[in-house]
Amino acid sequence: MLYLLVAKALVIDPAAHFSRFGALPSLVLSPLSDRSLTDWLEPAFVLYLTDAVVLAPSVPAILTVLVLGALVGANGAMGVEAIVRRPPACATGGGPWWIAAVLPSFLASFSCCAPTVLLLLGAGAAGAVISVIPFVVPVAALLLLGSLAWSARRLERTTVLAAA
Amino acid sequence: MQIGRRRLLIASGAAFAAACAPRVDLPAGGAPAASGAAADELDQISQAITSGGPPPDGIPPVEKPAYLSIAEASKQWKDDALVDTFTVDGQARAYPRFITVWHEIVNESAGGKPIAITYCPLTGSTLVFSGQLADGRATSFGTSGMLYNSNLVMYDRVTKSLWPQLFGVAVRGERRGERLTEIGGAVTTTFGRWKAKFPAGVVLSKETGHARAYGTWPYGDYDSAPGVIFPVRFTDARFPEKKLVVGIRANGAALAIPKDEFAQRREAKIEVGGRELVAQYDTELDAVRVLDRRTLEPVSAYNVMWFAWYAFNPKTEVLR
Repeated sequence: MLYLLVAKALVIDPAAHFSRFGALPSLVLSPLSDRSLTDWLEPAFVLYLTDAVVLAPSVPAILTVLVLGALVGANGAMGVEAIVRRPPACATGGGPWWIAAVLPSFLASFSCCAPTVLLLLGAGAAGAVISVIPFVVPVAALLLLGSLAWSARRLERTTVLAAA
Repeated sequence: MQIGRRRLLIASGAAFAAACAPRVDLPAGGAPAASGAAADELDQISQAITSGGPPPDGIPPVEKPAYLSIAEASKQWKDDALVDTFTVDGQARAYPRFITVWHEIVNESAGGKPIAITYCPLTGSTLVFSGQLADGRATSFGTSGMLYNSNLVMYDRVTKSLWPQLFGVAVRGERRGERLTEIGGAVTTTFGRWKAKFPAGVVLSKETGHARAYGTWPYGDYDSAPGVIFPVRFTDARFPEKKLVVGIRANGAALAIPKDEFAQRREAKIEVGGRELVAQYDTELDAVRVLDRRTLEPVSAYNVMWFAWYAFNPKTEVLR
């Protein structure tokens, strides 16, 4: 949700008065004919939900939300599982492990907030930052995957040890 | 028949690359081909063109504009919505910026000949161009996805030459050095003011063939916030960067009329590049029109943010 909001795929504008465009909710689908992949950056649909809320995500934005959302959800579920079982393998020893936990979400939110960040930095610094933006979501996804695999492995080992 | 995994991967990769490649092949900025002072300036401009992010036509022009009656449009747009207005074939037409901000170019025809109503959100400028090239060929225009001085760089669909909107001269490609014909008479005002003056007019419809969040503004408070995002070649601190001036250019000379101040003055005889003109404040539309004093024909004069006007016209005079 936050990702869509910052990526401007979800716009909340109390002054918009979208019901002027017709009965709400109203859905406008993007025409699919004669598309190249670059056109997939266009909104897949526009959904005027209320007088002040419109959703217009592109296919990549929808996929990003689904993939990152699923990974964050799986990581969260694994975390809950670890807390419930309290296996000794999940004790981290108090090191700076929280950075590994926070980094994926930081990267994901940085990538979608990038235009705002660039506005704050100004055009001079933008050049240095803009080149890394395309890699940020994949890196965040990889980190989330890695974190998920690592947690799953430790939990599994604990379960095996407990069973033995 | 068996297809190897490697072949399948290569074929998929090639298909992906082909699909990702821009469908429009625009001329790249190459080594300078200087041939005199004018050529040097074109080279400098060509080399200063930067990517704005989207691919060619990633901001898709409206190719088949449809129009609504004022009664229908009044249900959709508030009276304070900004519109660019222009008379096409004797019919007053309004182009809501809540639509054109997503397309930047409306390819139209007037008198059976192509014209383009172009709007750059980063410089706040709307100019109307003839789609007739100097050699007689007719063309529509696309968005290149590139910027010069933070301003829309268009390309013509016939030769793929690049034309910065506020420069109006091709800086790359076959038509390099050629100037497009600007068509005067376009005025930026509010929907409420315009429909009161032109009750028989028509308004660009949201049925553009594209799905966009019409009614929202993707640039946030850019129009009023200080600072520009993309580099500009020349800057001047006489006015705030985003202050609206009315720009007029003739025979290589340029004049800026600060719009708000001119509202008090109402009318002024001006001379730009030896051309005798008169600037008039239209109280009904809250807009400045500029006419040729001899023919009383409107000349191209348009609202534009000060930073952009100065970046393109560093020798501009300012009407005081």
